[in-house]
Amino acid sequence: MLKAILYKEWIKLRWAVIVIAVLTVLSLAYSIGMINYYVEFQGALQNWLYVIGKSLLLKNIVFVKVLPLITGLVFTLIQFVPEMNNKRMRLSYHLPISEKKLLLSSVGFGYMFLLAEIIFLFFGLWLVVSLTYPAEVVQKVLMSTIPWFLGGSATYLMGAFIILEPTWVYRIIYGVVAYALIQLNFLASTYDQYKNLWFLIALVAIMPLSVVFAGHRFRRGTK
Amino acid sequence: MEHVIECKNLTHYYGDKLVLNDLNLKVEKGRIFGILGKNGMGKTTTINILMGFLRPTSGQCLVLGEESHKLSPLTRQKIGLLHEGHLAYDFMTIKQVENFYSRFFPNWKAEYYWDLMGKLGLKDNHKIKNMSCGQRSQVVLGLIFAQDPELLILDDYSMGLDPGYRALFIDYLQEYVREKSKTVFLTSHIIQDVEKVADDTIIMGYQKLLLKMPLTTLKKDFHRFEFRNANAVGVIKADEDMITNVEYYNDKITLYSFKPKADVIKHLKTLGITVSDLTEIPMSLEEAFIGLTGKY
Repeated sequence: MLKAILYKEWIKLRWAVIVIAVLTVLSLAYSIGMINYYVEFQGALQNWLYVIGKSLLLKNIVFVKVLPLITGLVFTLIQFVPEMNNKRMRLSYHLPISEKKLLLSSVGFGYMFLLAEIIFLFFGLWLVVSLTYPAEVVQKVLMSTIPWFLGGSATYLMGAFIILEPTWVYRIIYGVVAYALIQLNFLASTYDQYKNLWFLIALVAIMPLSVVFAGHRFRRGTK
Repeated sequence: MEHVIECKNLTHYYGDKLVLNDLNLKVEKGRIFGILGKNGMGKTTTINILMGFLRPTSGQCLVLGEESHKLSPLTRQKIGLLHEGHLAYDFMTIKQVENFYSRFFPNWKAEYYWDLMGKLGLKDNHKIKNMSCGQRSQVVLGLIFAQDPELLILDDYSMGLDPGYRALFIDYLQEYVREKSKTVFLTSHIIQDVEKVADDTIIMGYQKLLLKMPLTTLKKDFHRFEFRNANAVGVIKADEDMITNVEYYNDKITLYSFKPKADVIKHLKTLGITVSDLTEIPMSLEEAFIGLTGKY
């Protein structure tokens, strides 16, 4: 049964997975171009000062910042809007599988594809930055991007929560909360501003429960 | 288990609005039930409760022995649901949707599905969203048949179907249900179709069940009488026992009753009305439905 759910989610997401993978490659290529441009334009020494002092690299890889967010948003829309259109979710709820298992597996498989894109982006970024900079810089950059990836995850999960909610009033309230929570991941403008990521990780980890809550409200016929 | 569906004292409110009031209903195994009711009479609410998508405010509804709002996956496996509007995963193709559903049902009978799909003459990779409502109805019906359920709940199956597809749907349903002795609970706005396929009819009135009986009994026992008497206009009232409904048009009076003609004449006499021209007018199911529920 889980295989069947994976199959359904894959049918919905496959084109988006491919398009996002292509966008990831393009973003990384753009980042290489930006890094090289600044190194040549500023000279190695000046560039080094900007990279260390002004966190220039975070500006060079701006697409990497927004890509997980876009991916999370696109995946959640593609996966759950068709389910809520004409209350199609009722079809899924009548399948011989428990409600919790159905919701968590649907979200889990979608998140699995998102995670695959994030891992691809993360290693791509590691490769791109390592081409020019030493390991210490690479580490700083990668650590600074983790909140962005968590932001993408939060966008995906909170998006599912909002879409599966059956009433518009609650959707709006959830939307405001989601905006605040997602924004928490994009506050830093320099390296290492987040001293402790566990809070953000814990927030993302409990978000699937909200999806179960919204799904249950739909199932109960809340109006 | 004697009854496939059993609703006891079912009451439901939407906010302050009472939709179902103390509804009691039993559906016996192996029969086809057609549920009829005018818009707003709680038909969809009843179906939603049966399908487990609405928890009743009070009362209980058992489907295959389990409470409808918490059916176990095993019981859901035994229920084939057709949702209003022939709801389907329209992002899938003919082949994909069969592939998907087949993994959930151990008794999957793919031949029923492919037999119906063969009639459509579409390619296996045809997307459901590019189909007409009639074609989609065949996909949904094929999936329900292949599931081989004990109970079929078909919510407004005729919605959006042209006469050809409606006839096709009914033909396939009748053949499948008779052959495999399934229990069917269906709603439709096309009363002639219900008349063709159902063994029993359930007619819902405002907040309550008006009647539940075999169609043959309804046709035999429910009568329409007409007579003309200007003095009797407004005098006869509908009641629980004798007169189910009464309509006035100028001096023409139409009475609906489950009692025979002689009893109705006797009743009219007690009201001081003498009639010499009381004529029984035969009725179709649609006319009987209107007689029971009223035109407005």
